[in-house]
Amino acid sequence: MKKVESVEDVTNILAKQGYVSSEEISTIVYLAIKMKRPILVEGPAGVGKTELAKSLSRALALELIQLQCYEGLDESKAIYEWEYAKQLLYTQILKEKINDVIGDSSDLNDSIKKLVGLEDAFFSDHFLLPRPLLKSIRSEKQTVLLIDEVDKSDPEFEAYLLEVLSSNEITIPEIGTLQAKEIPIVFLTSNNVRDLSDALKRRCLNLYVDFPTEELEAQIVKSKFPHIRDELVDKLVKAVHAIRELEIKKKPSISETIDWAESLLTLQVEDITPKELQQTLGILSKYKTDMDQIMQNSDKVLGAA
Amino acid sequence: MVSMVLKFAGYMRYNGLTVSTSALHNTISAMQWVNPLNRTQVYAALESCLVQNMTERKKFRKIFQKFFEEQSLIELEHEEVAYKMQVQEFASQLREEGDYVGKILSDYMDGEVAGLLQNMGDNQTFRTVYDETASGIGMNKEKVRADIIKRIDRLKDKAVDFADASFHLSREKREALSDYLRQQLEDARELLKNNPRKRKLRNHLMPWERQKAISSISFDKLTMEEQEKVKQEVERIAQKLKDALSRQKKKARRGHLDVKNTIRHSMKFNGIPFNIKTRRPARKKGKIIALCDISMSVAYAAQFTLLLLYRLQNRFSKIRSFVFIRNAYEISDLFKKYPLETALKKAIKQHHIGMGQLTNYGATFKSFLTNYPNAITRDTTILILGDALNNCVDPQVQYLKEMSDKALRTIWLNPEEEKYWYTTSSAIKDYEPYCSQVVECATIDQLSDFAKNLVL
Repeated sequence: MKKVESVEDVTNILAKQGYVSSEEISTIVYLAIKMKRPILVEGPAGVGKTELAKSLSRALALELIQLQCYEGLDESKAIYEWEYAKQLLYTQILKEKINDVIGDSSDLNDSIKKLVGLEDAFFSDHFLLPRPLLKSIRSEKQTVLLIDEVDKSDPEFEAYLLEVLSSNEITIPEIGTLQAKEIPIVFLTSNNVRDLSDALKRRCLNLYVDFPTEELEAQIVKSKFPHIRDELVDKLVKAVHAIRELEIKKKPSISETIDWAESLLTLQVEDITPKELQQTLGILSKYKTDMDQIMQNSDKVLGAA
Repeated sequence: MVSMVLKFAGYMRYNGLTVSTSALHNTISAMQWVNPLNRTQVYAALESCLVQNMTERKKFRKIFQKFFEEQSLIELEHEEVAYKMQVQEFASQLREEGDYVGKILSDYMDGEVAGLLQNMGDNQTFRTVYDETASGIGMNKEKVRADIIKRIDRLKDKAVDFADASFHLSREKREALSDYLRQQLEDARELLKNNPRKRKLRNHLMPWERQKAISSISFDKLTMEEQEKVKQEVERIAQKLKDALSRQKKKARRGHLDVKNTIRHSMKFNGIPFNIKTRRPARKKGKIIALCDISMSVAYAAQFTLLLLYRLQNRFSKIRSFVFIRNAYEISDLFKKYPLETALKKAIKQHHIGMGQLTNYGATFKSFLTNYPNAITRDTTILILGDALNNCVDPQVQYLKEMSDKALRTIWLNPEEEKYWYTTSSAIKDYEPYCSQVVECATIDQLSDFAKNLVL
């Protein structure tokens, strides 16, 4: 892992990965690395929450382990599972060989002792199927663990996370408690679909990534498309900010700004006029009603630009 | 640095934000890693550790600015101490009056309520411990109580004068002190009358007290700031209900064994049913027709109910919303076009709805049946949100009866307190026989209970 000794270091290594980070974001990432605490990243969709974790893993040359959360996610998909089929296969083999194992036993007690010894073998590492959380805890090298859209999982799943997040360990009843070899850098992202529990929040550093300022957004666009003209970036960013001011259902996110910039470059647009706006509106907005509103206010949107 | 963090946390708590000990501990260790002279870094470190609820970010920013940039720290420290000293001073002035009433009340102001509590209730035996200095021993409890109440009435004016004369406090603080003293006295009076009244007017509450009480404040008495908090609370209730629903769903799923599917899947395990398959029960979803009175007297309550309904809309196959004053108009389209907040504002602002006219429930139900004859089906739940103040016109109950007969159930949510339902201006007594349920829905707690019954 590359060494990070200051907030500026974080900003620089992220910038090298094409992630333009504000000082606030860099500070909290730096704190998370130094304090070995998870970061809970919240904010609207498309502002770069997931990308932050991905960029950091690339920047620090650490393996990224991602867990995508969804309703109904349980420990067998997130932490570990026993390989039932393999166990069953071994049971079948054992069935055939059972006489060899207990053949020379003097009495029933002796036979049971021998069988109990075998039972332990069934619940060992050999039959354990590690899922992302366990993988990250058992990894020999430090990893970046991304628990994406944690708010989409059920509240019960949060309880499983608490142990991992607070003491960096996982308890498997049949084996015991596994302590992390290297404490991972954990990112949890949330779109505020539901409120997360206070217990979970308390264990994390809270980072709210909002829509960026005009300057920062312009910088982001330029970092993605270094040859784009300054005037076009300026107009584009101002237009996006004006659209975000409108009362629409879904405000365009940073990723949509980048897509829009790309489409304007592809179409070799020199200046954004209502015609160009109309042509490329599908990239900025996903709802018909929002599109109508943007076009009705095109003077305001492009006037601001 | 540690003392600065502690003071800042204290200031946050004073302003009504919660700061847990573990958050404080995190903050102190985070501060070791940032440059204390860099404002952005200090801000980010404090915010990441101390703000757990993102809705509190705005408030946190203000508090941060006030604390660090307006240098109100020293001022605050002094003012806080001065404020507390003034409360103590008021208590000691009472003690100086020398009699038992003064002593009981001064102890009470100092936080020692035993003396006052001994004089509550109907027991006629006087068991006070104020024997030496107060010489109230052996007196009739009724008499003591009457004396204290009389003194309190006199002291309430004195408390205002006392606060006004605390010139070393800021005007804001003086007002807070006056409110606080008066309320303390008022509470004591209520305790003695043995008839503790439900607190409704909140202007005397300190910030940290307000947060706790919000769920029991009647909707019509909320300040703008509190309305925002109630909206957040409504969102929370919606989430809780969704969680409860998903748990219920899972439980139900676990209970239904799908034999065919289980046997089929056991084939690959040599007939051993390794994976038990269960059958997902069909979800019963109903339709909701919400009729909201948006005349001035009830508009405040309509917004919260609609907000909750729309957050729970996945639970229902369809929600159609109508607003009325004397005619019902559908506003479901507004909800499709705009975010909920904006849609509600627009709905209430619509001119053709008849703002400023007198509410007429009978005419509304009639217009609903005429204009939307097919809206109600057998699986529809009709929700009527209104205070039933019909301005003494004919309630025309036959139209509500017709609606109820068509629907699965009719629930009337009344934001008026129940004791006012049977006054002459309220038509609720006429409509009640045709409703499956009439529910008082004036506070967030009541709204939450109602929603639970509706969806669970």
